[in-house]
Amino acid sequence: MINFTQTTAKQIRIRAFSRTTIFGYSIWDWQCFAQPTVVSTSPLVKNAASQTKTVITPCEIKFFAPGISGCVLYDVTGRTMININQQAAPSLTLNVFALRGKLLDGVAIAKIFSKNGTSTQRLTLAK
Amino acid sequence: MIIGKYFYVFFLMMGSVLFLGNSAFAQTNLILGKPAVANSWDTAGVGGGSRGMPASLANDGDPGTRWATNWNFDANRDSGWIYVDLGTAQTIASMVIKWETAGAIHYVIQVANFSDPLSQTLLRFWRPTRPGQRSQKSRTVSAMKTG
Repeated sequence: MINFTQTTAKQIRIRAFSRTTIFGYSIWDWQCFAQPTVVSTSPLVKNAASQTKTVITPCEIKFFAPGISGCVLYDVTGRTMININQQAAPSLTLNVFALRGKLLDGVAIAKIFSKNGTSTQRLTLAK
Repeated sequence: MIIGKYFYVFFLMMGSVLFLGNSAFAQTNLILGKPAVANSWDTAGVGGGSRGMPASLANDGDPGTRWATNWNFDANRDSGWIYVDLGTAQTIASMVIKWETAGAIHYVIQVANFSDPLSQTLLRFWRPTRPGQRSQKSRTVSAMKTG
């Protein structure tokens, strides 16, 4: 993955000057991506009642909570869709790029584990 | 009871498959299927089957097909370029290039906009050619002519 400062372009080009073999150049696959949108949730409160937030996909969702160490995302039937564990940090980022089409009604429940306990966030993933 | 047990195992397996499927988080490929142009393409190559290996095979979403220059006939085999026209100006932040063995040691990534006849060089790459040699990447803003 080649990352660079976000650039607006109509055309993008690869220009090569020297070869790895005696042959010319060949590319199996070339992909370009936009920077995903980051959606921030309000700070999660210890054992708060479930909040609902609508996010537009594709995006990244950033959860803020003191010592946040994990997140499990369920669909409405309780099936685990994503399970993330990390070192305790002030925030946790969740990628929901391709998730919406696989969720019933585009609804997901995120369970967040932090230093202060567990919080839940009900998410509506809109296009 | 036995049938119920099998159904339970089946659903567990289905759940695993769906979970794995979701772990990819595929982002939208901005250049997928967009018009691609190259300075050269192999008209009889194997990588594209009977179609040869035109530029469009680099961004067709099929990792089993490839674009290749027509090295056997190119006057300057060191010079190779391929570009994709996005149709409208879009914001790009990252890319993935899967070179074939016939790749580039030194290459640049350039961009151009509607009103900009020049292509701005974003990054320069030097890939290692000897064991222990480190690859290099530098950001430059020198303008180079397109075409």
